[in-house]
Amino acid sequence: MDLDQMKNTWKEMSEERMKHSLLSEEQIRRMTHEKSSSSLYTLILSESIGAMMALAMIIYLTLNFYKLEGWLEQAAGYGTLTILIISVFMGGKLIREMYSINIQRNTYSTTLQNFQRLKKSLRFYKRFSISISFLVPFLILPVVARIWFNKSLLEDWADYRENLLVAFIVLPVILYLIMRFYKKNVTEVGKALKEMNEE
Amino acid sequence: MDQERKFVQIIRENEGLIYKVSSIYAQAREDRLDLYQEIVLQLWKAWKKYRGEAKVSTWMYRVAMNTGITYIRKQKRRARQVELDNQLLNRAENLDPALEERMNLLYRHIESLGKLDKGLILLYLEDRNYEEIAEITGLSKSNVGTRLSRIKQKLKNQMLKQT
Repeated sequence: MDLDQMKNTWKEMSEERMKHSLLSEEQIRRMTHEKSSSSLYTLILSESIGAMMALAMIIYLTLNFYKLEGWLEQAAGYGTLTILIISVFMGGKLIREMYSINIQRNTYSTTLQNFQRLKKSLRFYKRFSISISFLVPFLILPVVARIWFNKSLLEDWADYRENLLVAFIVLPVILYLIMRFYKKNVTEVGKALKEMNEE
Repeated sequence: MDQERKFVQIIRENEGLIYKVSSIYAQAREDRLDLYQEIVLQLWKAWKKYRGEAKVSTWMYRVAMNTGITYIRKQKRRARQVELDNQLLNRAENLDPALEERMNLLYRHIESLGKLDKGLILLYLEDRNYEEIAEITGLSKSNVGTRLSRIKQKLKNQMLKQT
């Protein structure tokens, strides 16, 4: 094959290609929208995983609740269960709101309204998570210690303090990373919606 | 959504262009489809900034080639291994067997070229003049000429070696 043959082959292929349409209009439309909303799918996926994990923890804790001894540990168990149940409900609400952001199904203004509602819920979720994060270690640590290690943290204050200290160092970092993840993806979704409006 | 309709129309009219850039930069069928989709997305993103300063095809080549080059970088990071036979089989979709064979040979030659050179040879095969190639790639006209003659020489040597 020389360069002229190469050019002829290319020309022939181009002519052949011209005869067949590769994609339908609908497919092109779907391509642009599907990828633009990939950030939204990332959010939905992570939120779903979070909700499933919380649900699994509820089941696990309920099945092992009998292991908790004394009213203080049981109160911590109920507190943990309450927080987990609230998390599952909030996760479900967020997923529902995320699914409602669909430019192909709704009008642009409805999509924008749904997006604003999601942002509002996420703001609430953020505030709730920050406030609850101060309470979570106090509740969850004695429960985990009893169920997993059959140990009473509430009777060993030095150990409890140590664990709390570690939790209060690690928790803000985790919270910060989660919030950053949400902020980044929500901003991406917002940007994609804005782009559509500008066109 | 009038702009979207216009965009879809342009994509449909220039499907061949996107297909050719995808097939130059991606090897396996699934990678090519992925790149095709990525190019459509990047064109969609760039569409709002397009004010008609350049010809539609020039603008499309520019975006598509940049996407192709970036795609190669990402692919390298992913370090995916695709079997050559599979690549060749996937490459020639619904073409006449004789043409298919020649296309495979052509792709094999092009594959040895660098990222930008792949784009340059594509534009050469597409019969674009140096001025257009320069506009698309951002190279100077003289640089396009020099690079293209080097590429042609490289391909000639390669072809000679094979015969």
